[in-house]
Parts: sequence; C-alpha cells; structure tokens
Amino acid sequence: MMAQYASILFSMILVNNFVLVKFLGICPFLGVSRKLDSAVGMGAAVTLVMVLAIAVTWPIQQLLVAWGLDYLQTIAFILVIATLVQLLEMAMRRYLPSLHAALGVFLPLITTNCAVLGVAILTVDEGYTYPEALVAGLGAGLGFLLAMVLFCGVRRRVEEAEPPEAFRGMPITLISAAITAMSFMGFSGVIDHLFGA
Amino acid sequence: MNSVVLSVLLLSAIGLVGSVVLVSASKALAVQEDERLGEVVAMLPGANCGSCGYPGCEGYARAMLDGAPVNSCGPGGPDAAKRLAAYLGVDAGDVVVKRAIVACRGTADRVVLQERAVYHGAHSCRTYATMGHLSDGCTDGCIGYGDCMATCPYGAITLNKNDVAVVDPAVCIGCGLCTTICPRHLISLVEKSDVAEVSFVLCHNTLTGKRAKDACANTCLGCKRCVKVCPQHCIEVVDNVAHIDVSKCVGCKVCMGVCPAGAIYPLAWVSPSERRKS
Repeated sequence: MMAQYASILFSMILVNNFVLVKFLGICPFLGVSRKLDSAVGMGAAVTLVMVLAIAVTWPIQQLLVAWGLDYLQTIAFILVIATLVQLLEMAMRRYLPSLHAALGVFLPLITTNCAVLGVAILTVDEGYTYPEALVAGLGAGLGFLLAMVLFCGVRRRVEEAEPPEAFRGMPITLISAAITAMSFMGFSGVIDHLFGA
Repeated sequence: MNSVVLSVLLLSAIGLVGSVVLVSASKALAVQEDERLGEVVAMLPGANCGSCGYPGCEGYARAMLDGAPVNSCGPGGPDAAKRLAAYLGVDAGDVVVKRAIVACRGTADRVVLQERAVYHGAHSCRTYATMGHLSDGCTDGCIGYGDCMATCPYGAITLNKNDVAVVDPAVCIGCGLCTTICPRHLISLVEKSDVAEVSFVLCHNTLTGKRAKDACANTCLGCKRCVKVCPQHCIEVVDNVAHIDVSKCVGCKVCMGVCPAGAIYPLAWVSPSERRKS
C-alpha cells in the first residue's frame, strides 16, 4: 500500500514531471525562475494550490459523473481553482508581503496555469482514489518545485557564463530549458524498477 | 431539461460557496493600507505615463508615502507638486521642466522618402526600420510614418508637410514615451535650463560630404565650425554630428549663424502653466 503511494509520488515528481516532461506551466517556470527565493515561493504556492485543488475537484468530479454532467468538468474546475488562488493571494499579501511582491503578476496567473488544471484533470483520468489523487497532486507540486529550483540554478550558471549577445536573455533560457527537459527523459522507467509497479 | 437545471444549480452553488469563502477571507485577511494612499493617487493626473520612474501613478503615490520627492510628476507639473507637498507636509522643490525634441529636420526631397515610395509593407516606422535594405539616403533621419505620433497620449506630436515628426512644446509634458518608440532614436528629453531659448542640432546624420548633402539638404556635415565659435565650448562633434550640451548653452546663437547647412535651431520652452490641453 505504502509502495503504491510512493510510486505515484515519485513518478509524478520525476517521470511525469509537469514542467519538464509534460510541458505544462511553462509561463511561471520561465518567468519566476530568476531568483531562488521567488522560485521556491512560487513552487510552494503552486504545490499548495494543486493539493487544495485536487481536494476540492475530486469530490466535484464524482458529483459531475453521478449527475451525468462530465462536460462541465473544465468550467467547474477553473471556478474552484480561481477561488483557491484568490484565497491564497489574500493570505500571502497578509502574511508574506515580500513574497507577494516578488511573485507579482504570476501569482494570479496560477488561476489560468495549465499545470494546476492539468493535475486536476489528469488525476481524474488516471482513475485514482481520493488519497491517491491527493498524493499525485502533492507529487506534481513537488515536481514543479524541483523543476523551478533546478532551473533557477541552471539559469544562474548560464548568465554567469556570458552567452553570446544574440542569445542573452530569453533565447538562451529556452535552450537551457530544453536541455534540462531532455535530462529528465533519463528518469523514464526508473520508478517501475524501483517499486516494481 | 433536468440536466440544464442541474448544471446551472451546481455551478451556481460552487460560485456561491466560493464567493462566500472569498468575502469572509477578505474581511479576515484585510491588509492595513495607509489611508492617505487613495487621496495621494487622486491628486496625481492618472496618466500612468511612467515619467516619474515608478510603475504607474499608484506606484509613485506609494513611493511618496515612503519619502520619495513630490516633484517628479511630469503631467502634473508644479501644481501637482504644490498640492502634494501641502498634503504630505513636505517641501515641494523645483519641478524639472522637460520636453521631447525630434532631432531631424528632413527636407521634402530627402532620399528616405523616395525609398519609402517603393516600400509596400506596414505603415510603421518600426516595421520599416527592421527591413534590411541598402540605402543611399540618411539612415538616421525621421522615416515619417508617425509611430511617435501614435504613441503620444497627449497628441503633442504631428507630422509636418515634409513628413517629419515635430513636437509641439505647448502640449508636450515630457513623459518620454515617444523616446523609446523611435527606431532611429531621434527623440530625446531635454531639461529646461535658465536660458529662454537654447540652440539644438536637429540632425543625427552620420554621413559625410557629398553623400550627406545628397541624402538631405538639412544635414549636419560635422564641419566643426560651430565647435570653433562657441564661447561656452559646449559643442562636441561625435560621428560627424554636432551635439550641444543644453545645460551649458547660454543661447547666444552664434553657432546658428556659422552653420553652413542650417542644422542648428533654437529650442523653445513653454512653461507648464501655459500649456495647452489637447
């Protein structure tokens, strides 16, 4: 039983990493990864929103299926996620004003972040039970956090290496994102061997 | 029918629960804001032009509450500075009057206009400037499609009969939005000094000799005659173009007399209180 949860958790973090393997949530990934503390803050915020979103959307999905309203999935999920992000923003403005200022416009943008909606829909599609879905959400969020932190380091090294002028800024960032994403392809199959699932 | 009612009910219920949660959260998590903020924002013109160097009028208002000088607002001018100073109980200070100036006085037969005639792309200086083409003309002069004119929120820039952008000093508030839009970097902000009318070189043409003359009759040739006669030694020729340090110019206009091309013009000021609203 524990092995199954661990398998889901680590497969979400490494094998099915939302940013680097599924290419969801690229916008904050490129936008807030310049400084380590805002990258960690963004990762933590997205993790929290993902777990909370699944905690609410999973029961709603059961309701939608029971009433034969599956087609409302996207709009109902977006409604829930928007509320949660707004709530998080208020809380952050109150208790973590410096982080709130550092994240800026990217915080309300979690609302339309495909990674959050993606994790809500994908866990439903996988047919996970409620605790499994929560673990998957946590894994997806931690995977996002890991990608943000790793990429923040990559970016810092790249900027110090003084790339040619034509590549400076976004171009070299996109190239290094592609190479970081390729390195994550090496993880495919690792989980199956580790947990024998 | 049933599913219609159900779906409306379900989504309304989610929305209702969400709004109740948000309303109670906004009450519980309300942040104490300086109550003066709203009043200070109301005293600013609300142009959000960014000439003060802060992100929008609200950003500047926050900065002022934290002790930033109150005289940085271009559109508001001395009036706004006085009101803000009275409200915040600080010294108003001197407001630096600025205006934009387009450093080109192109002629009607300049080569750029002839080359423009065979260009069929978008009607935009920036698009035109990104097209790679060999040119016999001046590649530093006004293209004349009026990108700056479209950017100016106050309508201070017009195109004259030669298709050269001209800033009306009676309207320009010196926000500097146009300075970043010109692909030829012709527009700059000039700060008013104590002199009523200073001299200013209205040309950026780096070509020399016959090529420069053929490209445009009003070109600075970089001959340095103005450098030799200037009593203040405030003129410098860089890349075949004369530049006048406006802060040192005393407005003697000797340079205008000796310029063989007539590229130096007087730069007039209109004080903020006499500005026209456009």
